[in-house]
Amino acid sequence: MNLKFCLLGLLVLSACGPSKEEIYQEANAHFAKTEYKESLPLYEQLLIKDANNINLYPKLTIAYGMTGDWAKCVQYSEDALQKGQDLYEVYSVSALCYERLNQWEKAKTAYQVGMKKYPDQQTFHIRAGLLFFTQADYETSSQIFKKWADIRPQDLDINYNAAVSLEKSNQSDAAELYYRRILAIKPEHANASFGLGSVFEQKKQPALAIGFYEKALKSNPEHLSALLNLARLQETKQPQVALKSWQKYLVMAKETKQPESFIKKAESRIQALKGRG
Amino acid sequence: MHFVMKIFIFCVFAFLMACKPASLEAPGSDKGFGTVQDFSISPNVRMALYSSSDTEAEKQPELEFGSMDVHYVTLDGTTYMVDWSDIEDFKSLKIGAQIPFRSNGYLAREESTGKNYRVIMLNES
Repeated sequence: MNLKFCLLGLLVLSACGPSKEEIYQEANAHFAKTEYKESLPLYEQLLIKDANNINLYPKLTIAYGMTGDWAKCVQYSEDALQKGQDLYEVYSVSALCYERLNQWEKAKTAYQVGMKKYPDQQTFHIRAGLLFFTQADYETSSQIFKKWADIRPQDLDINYNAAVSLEKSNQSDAAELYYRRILAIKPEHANASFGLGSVFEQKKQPALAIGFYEKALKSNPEHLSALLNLARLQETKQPQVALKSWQKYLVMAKETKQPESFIKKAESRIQALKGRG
Repeated sequence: MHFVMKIFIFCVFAFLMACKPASLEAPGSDKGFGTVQDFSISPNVRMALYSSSDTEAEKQPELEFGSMDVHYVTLDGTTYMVDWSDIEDFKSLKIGAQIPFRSNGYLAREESTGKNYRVIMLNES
């Protein structure tokens, strides 16, 4: 008898609770106000109460992504995609969550599929390009940056990323084109001058390389990489000039606390050049 | 007046008030820019579409309900229905992005809730 009353009481109580629509609305209200933490338990509740609601999976992906629970973010993104919710945000957030989890291959796949589905989402493509670059897949990163650099020829950052990726993937001619494009817009862009110096070194044209390293140093006298490469190239034909460059490099490398290996290399080159003199 | 009569008159008034046709106005503006706060899909929802010019002319259009997959977007606190031919733009929505939109000339009424929505095209100004 008592059990019957208890069951009846439970039934009455459950009937008094908010409906699934009310819970969904409350969760969405939190979500819209970027109160993702508050929306999460409500959406989770709805996975049982409103199992057919296809919106829950993208919402959970985004909300967990925004609150830093990367594992749950990717878990729900997989569910969302499996249920046909192939929204841009699902790819965008899940790719980021895979990155945070250091699951590089899955992150790359999310970017590859997302880029195919959403060819106009510049930010997403640029993020993908950066990931491929850091993963040393210069071929893919150069394709991505090259495409966007041609769409946005005035964007210095994208053109620079294109140039560096092309250079790293041994496409010197194409890299030169993008470095030159940057210098046409901003002649004092030290990194673009340095890049051209490096490209001409790849092309075995040291005189041109020296010219661009000098240009880089003119724009930014503290460009240590330009100074290092310049000193190295000067050694063949101008050992005394090279000695001065190495000495300058050593002072700056010590001041800026560069790794010991660089400092030792400068010291040994100075020693060798002094010996020659 | 007899008490029962008073109750009867009250009931008649209440009935008449309840019979007053529901408003067909929908919140939001016809065009502008808005920040994306939320978006969702509701499959097989019974909706009726009517022209926004009907409501402006204070006409009472006949509502014919039919089932459709509805795509909602919330921009700056107002929920709109996304035009049925604009699904690619809907799928590309980014939370927090500011997008231009304009009405496609229709309003929609959801049968189950009685809520009205302005139907909009995304990324159009």
